[in-house]
Amino acid sequence: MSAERAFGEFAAAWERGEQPDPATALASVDEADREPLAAMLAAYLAANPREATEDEVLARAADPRSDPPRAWPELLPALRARTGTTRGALVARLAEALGHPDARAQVEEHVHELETGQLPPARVRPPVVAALARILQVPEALLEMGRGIAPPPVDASQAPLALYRQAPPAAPLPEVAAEAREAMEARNAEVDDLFTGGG
Amino acid sequence: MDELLAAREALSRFCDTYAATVPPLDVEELAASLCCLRVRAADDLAPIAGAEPAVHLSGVLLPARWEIWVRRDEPGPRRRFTVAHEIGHHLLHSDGAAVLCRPSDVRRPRATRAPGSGRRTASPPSS
Repeated sequence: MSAERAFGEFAAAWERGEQPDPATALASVDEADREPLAAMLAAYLAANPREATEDEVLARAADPRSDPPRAWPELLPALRARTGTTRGALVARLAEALGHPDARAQVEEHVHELETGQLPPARVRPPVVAALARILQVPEALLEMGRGIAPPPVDASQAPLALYRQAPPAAPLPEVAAEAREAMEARNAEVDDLFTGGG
Repeated sequence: MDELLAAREALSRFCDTYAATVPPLDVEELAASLCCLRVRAADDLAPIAGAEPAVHLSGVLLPARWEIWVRRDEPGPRRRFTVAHEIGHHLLHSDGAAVLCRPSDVRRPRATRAPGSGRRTASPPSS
């Protein structure tokens, strides 16, 4: 595309009240035309400033895409709060969206681990990311950016343990055998794979 | 912070954020949504807390796992109260150490830390 045409399209969009991206315009022309086009765009924008209304500023500030990337243990609860989605509601919608409405307990377990940094989000498969983005009303890119930020490692063995005066010192945190057994028997392997099979 | 004030503040935050109407209050949902705490139940909490088998516990807060454990065999209203009690520990003075609560601890509406009774936290084992 020529620099003149790219400039014309940018200016037309600007005059329609849209928010055309100068970087996109620059990327659409040949290398040799980029510097002149950048100068044209800079001059045009300087001559045609747009005053954002207070509502526009507030809307942009409230847009989660304006936020810097955050790790999932911080991001997911914040997005739940922003959208007024309880964890129970998130789990129910996520289980439904993944096609496993009956595996709610299992989905809850994984969501709990994601929100508390016990499961690295890098292990979550793309369909889960896509479903979370729809439920939490954010672009997938926002979750993807946060996915790359590793939460601080959680090492239960290093965390303070329950030390009871009548208990053996430094007792480990044992699983409840019966509950763990029941849980293992009822597990849906596909759900586990969706949450832990990636990365 | 005052216990009642903290409880009211948590309730208010839960209702405001998630458009919840009370009563009734779903304490397990409050624990999960507001505090990221998962509530689980077991027949015996002593092994989970590393306590001796004879120790009867009504509730355990495990901050390292972000979990509250309650006894499966206790009545529903009592379990609800235990969950609320453990949320209180989480909000007021969670320092990363597990909190073990006997039935007598959870029974009191305003918990105290009287020596020799009540809440046990990460106290070193007496030898």
